[in-house]
Amino acid sequence: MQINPGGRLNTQEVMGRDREIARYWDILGRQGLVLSAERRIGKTHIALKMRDECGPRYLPFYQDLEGVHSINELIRSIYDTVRQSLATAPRFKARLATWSTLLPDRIGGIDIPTGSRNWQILLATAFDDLINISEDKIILMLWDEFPLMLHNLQRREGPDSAIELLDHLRALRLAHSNRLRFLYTGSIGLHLVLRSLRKAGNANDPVNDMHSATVPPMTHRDTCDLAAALLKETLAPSDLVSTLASLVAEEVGGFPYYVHHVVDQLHQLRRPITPDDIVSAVGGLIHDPHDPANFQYYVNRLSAYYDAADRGVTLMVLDTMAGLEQAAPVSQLVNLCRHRDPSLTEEYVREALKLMAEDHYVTLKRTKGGLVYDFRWQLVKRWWKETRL
Amino acid sequence: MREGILRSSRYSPGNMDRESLEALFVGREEVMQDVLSRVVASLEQPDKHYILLVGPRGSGKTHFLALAYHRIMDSIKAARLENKTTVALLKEEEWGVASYLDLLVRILKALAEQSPEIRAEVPRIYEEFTRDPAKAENLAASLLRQHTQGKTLLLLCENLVDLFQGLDLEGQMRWRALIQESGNWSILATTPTLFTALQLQDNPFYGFFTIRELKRIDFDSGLALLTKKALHEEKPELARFLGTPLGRARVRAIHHLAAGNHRAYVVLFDFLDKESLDDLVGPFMRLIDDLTPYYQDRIRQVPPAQRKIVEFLCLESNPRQVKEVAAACLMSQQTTAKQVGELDAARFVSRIRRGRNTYCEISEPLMRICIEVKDNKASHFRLFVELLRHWFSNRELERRVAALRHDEHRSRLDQVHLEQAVELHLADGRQPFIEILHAEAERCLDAGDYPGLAAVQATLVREGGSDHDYRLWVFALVQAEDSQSAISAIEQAGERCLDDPLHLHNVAMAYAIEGRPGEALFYVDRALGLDLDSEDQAAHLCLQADLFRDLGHLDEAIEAAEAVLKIDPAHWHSFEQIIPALTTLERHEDATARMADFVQLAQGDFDGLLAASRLAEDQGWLEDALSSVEAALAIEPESTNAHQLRGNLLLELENYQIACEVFREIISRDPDSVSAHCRLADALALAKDFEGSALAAKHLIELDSDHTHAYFARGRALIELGRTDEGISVLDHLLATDDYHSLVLAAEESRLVGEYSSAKRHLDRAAELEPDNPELWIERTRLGIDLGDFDSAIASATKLEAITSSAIPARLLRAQAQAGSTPLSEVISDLETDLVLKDVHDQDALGRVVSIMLAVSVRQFGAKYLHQGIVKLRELFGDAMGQGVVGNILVDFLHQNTADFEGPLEDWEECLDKLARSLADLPECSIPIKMLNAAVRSVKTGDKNHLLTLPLEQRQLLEENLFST
Repeated sequence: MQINPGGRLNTQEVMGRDREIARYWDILGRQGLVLSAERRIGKTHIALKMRDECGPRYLPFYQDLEGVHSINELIRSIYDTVRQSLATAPRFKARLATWSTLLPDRIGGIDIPTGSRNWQILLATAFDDLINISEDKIILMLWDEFPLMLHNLQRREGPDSAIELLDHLRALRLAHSNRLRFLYTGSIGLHLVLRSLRKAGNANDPVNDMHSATVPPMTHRDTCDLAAALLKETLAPSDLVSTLASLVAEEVGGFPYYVHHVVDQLHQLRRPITPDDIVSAVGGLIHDPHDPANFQYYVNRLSAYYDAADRGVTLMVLDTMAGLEQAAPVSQLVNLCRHRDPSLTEEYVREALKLMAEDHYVTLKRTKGGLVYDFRWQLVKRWWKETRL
Repeated sequence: MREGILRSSRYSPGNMDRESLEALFVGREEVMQDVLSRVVASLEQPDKHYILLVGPRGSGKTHFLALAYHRIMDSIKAARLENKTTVALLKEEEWGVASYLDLLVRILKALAEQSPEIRAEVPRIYEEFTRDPAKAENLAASLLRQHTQGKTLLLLCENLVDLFQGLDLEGQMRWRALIQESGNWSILATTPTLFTALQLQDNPFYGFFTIRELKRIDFDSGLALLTKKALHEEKPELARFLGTPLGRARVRAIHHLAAGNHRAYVVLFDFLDKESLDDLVGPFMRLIDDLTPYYQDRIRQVPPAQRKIVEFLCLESNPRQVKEVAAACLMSQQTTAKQVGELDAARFVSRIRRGRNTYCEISEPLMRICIEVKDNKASHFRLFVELLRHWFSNRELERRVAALRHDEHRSRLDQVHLEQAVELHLADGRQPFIEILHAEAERCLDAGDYPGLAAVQATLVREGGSDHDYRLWVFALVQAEDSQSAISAIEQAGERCLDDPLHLHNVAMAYAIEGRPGEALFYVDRALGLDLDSEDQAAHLCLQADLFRDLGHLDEAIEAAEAVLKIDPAHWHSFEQIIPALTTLERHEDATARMADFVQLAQGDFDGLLAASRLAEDQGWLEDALSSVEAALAIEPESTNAHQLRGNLLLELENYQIACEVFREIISRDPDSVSAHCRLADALALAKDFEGSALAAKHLIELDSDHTHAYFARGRALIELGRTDEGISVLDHLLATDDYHSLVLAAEESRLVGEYSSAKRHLDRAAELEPDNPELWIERTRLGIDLGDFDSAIASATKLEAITSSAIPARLLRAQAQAGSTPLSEVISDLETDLVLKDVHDQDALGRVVSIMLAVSVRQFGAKYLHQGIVKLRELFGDAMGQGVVGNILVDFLHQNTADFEGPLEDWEECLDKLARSLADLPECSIPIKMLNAAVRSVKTGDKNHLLTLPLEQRQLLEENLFST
């Protein structure tokens, strides 16, 4: 397995996501799925792995919608993607001829001047066409960066278009509930886009028929396995690989991109690796003045998406949490925050924690002592502690 | 395929030909290998890598990418991936990418260079664009997908930062989506600086690339670059000069100005072989013409506030604090800090943190040029002044200033710059040229490059060097064992430094090496007359002991060495001086006693015991040596050196089996030990285990294919195993080597098994190497005798006599040869008995020589001259050599090759009868004569029963000699 921070992996080499993927298939068996997590957590690789390894029940199509800025582009993209997919996947080649005969007519429909006004019909037709060629299979649309497309749409065509699209997609899901599944993934939370749309007048919850989930960090065991596989590509002494891998996992947490990044730094040492090198590599990631991991993003983002009052409390909670060695229950966090602002209510802290959990800053864990909150990423916690406290 | 047309280029390395790109590629091989492995993995497997090389302008990015392109194309061919790969190389000047569509079109055009189909379709995109830009974009993406389907699309592009600026955020999103959906892209790109589109988490390309920084090249890489460039431009003299310390000093000056920037090295290369001021001015003015537009253009690209900071720093020769920059540029400190940060990110300025302060300086010293060109008030170029100060000493600059004052045709430009350089020296007291030489001297010292150090110190001395420079000069010459130059340097230094004991030691060493121990002793005595600490005193006394020994004053040598031991009882070398001296003085009891003292003192000290063991071995006290080394091993049981020494001693003690075990034990712990394999091969051969010896030698050859003794050992073992042809073939490997000794051994080995042509080959090669070495002529004589070419053997022996100080061995060898053509009695008569007896103390040795003589005669003439010869031998040597010698000679004769017993049986019967009578009064001869009688009869009649007249042990001896074949 080659060290490849940021690059594209062979889906067979994607490690430590089997548990999640099995769960996602279970969910898709009954309803659609919204997956969210920040960039570089591996969402795309999960989606691609699901496409490549899906069972015979499904006919999957992967689309990265980041570049889509209008509904017409979306429809065109569906036709293009399907054609590409059918052309490259040997088991679907028989359907390619049928689809190719449809294309000129359908694309022509999009391109006529009234196309943009009739997009609902065109979109419905597109899915009808898909269902027609799918025979008895369930169409699975893997839509990567779906919230980003909505965001682009909102900016290009206004909030109404985005709202209408969401509603229309919901209607399609209901109309073809046994034949059509959507899996939305996004690096900006769909909840943020929806909140913005709600402010623009949409009272619906257009994805309430879908299950929402956050891509979790890899487990410690899986992170160790990944780190060990990558360390084998370095000059790490073979008898130390498992110790070093465990140390990488402890220092970095279950974020595969950081694991690749840190091991890449170690690889460049071109000499046998010691545990101290790992501490230095992670330290380098945290203290590098150029902030290659862009930790500052976690602070800046608060300014972009939170109003001033929320931001103040959020920062206070995060600062408090960063100072704690262990995860803490709400009561402890409230008490500690009140050392800074005695007027703070427990409810306010709870709301801030809920928002931060949705935004992947913090995570809620169940322990023997009850529910506790901690930073979702120990590496971010360490950066937060060492640069802000 | 992109074909370069240039062999060298400062600004367009992408246009250089492949050979030039390879020849001038330095300091980046590791990054290159990493990049290539990732790209090739992307081409061969579903994994795709996106690599971004980050390095400031002039850091060699274009060169790297151009060479990477060639190497990637080679890899594609080698792996037969042509049908699975398509490569789009965006040209160096592709900065005009204005949109996502434009990017796609440029990629298609790059692909179109190899594909007429794509070329035909690109115009369709332009046509579509006039109707509907969005559809044109779709068409372009679709064409790209269509033409790269089932292949990996490898995009190579430069200046990614400019490309991203052209794309804007929407274009970046579309491009990333296309890459994700297609899944077949791999990218190798360069950028002078990282930019927000890659660094911020909410941007599409955040964390997308594997970053590889092209760091500034260090001094060694800079040196390598300039040397390669010199060779590439066919200037071998310059390349050689750069390998010398003075050449390196020149490169240090260039390095100071280039500050690790690849391009600056290439630009400044022209200065390297310029010695005169006139030679420097021309290239410098050309440099200004070349660089000014380039740097002015770069400075124009930065905002006004940053430009101001850059201009200020260009005019400052030292790093400045941010607050100083702020004050000079009339900005707030906060603004200045922010602008400096941005300039740092853009690699215009470097920041240096010292405690709480941050200093900044211009990243590329050459950038100063463009500011100075603009600044018309300045009458000189600071950079040129800086160059002059790095090129010449202040003394030289002053001399040139003085010379110009009296030169009617002087150049105003020269005078201004020289005067400014001298003025700067007065102001700051620095001499950069001398500093560079000192740095180079330090490097030579650290690297143990004493000839280099001597060259640097000689220059420093010429430039008015200090006492320290003189001292180091002499030291370097002594260490380089150039005693003649050292003495010349000492004479030049005169009375300087002669109060320095360390210097006096070096002076004494110089005379000692030169073979003038008397003068050396004078300086040692002078040093000992100074007030020395005990350590210095011991060092001088130790040297004194060596000098006394060289002068043959062994008592004084012992006295001096004993004085050292009083100061430092653990100074083992003193024992190494004392004990051999005592042995030479035949004070054997004292020598033994001091050896015992040595061993006693060294108890518990591993190094001491090892030294004691080696000393005992040198004295031939092998049992003592073994005992000491075993004591050393009790302290450090894992010491390979000690085990090796023990093995060698056991070998010398002829305890071959245990020696083999020792060497095997070393090999089990260190399977790559060359010395252990070497000795094991010998030990096994001595133990007659030739299979084992051949195998050990084979391993030795695998470990070190240049190990000449390994070929000899294997060849010898194979011959002993009867695999003669194979053995000779292995020995023939030695013909390509310079190992004289092994060649002669190989010749002997070949001769002994009758492979005379092989023996001759090896001797001819040995003669090329050392034509006057006695070993060669001894072996040549023996070969002549064995071949029956007695004239040649006599000529070889005559040559041997001419080149050796002791004539007797040569005369004995010649006598052996003469026995093949002259009656034995005459040959023996010609030997000068007195001389032979005076020179040959060992009766056995003489006996062996004479027995060969008898054998040669018998082989040639049968029994004809044997009786007379033995009678003459007895007459001349018998009495003097003591009792039993003739009998022994006869026994030795029986051991020689007498199997044929030339001539009829009657002659032999007559000869043996006469012999029996002549030697009847020598009882020790009766048994050898009986044996000879039985042997002759048995051989001549073919009836072995004749041997039954002999007792068993005598019979067996003859059977081995006569019938073994």
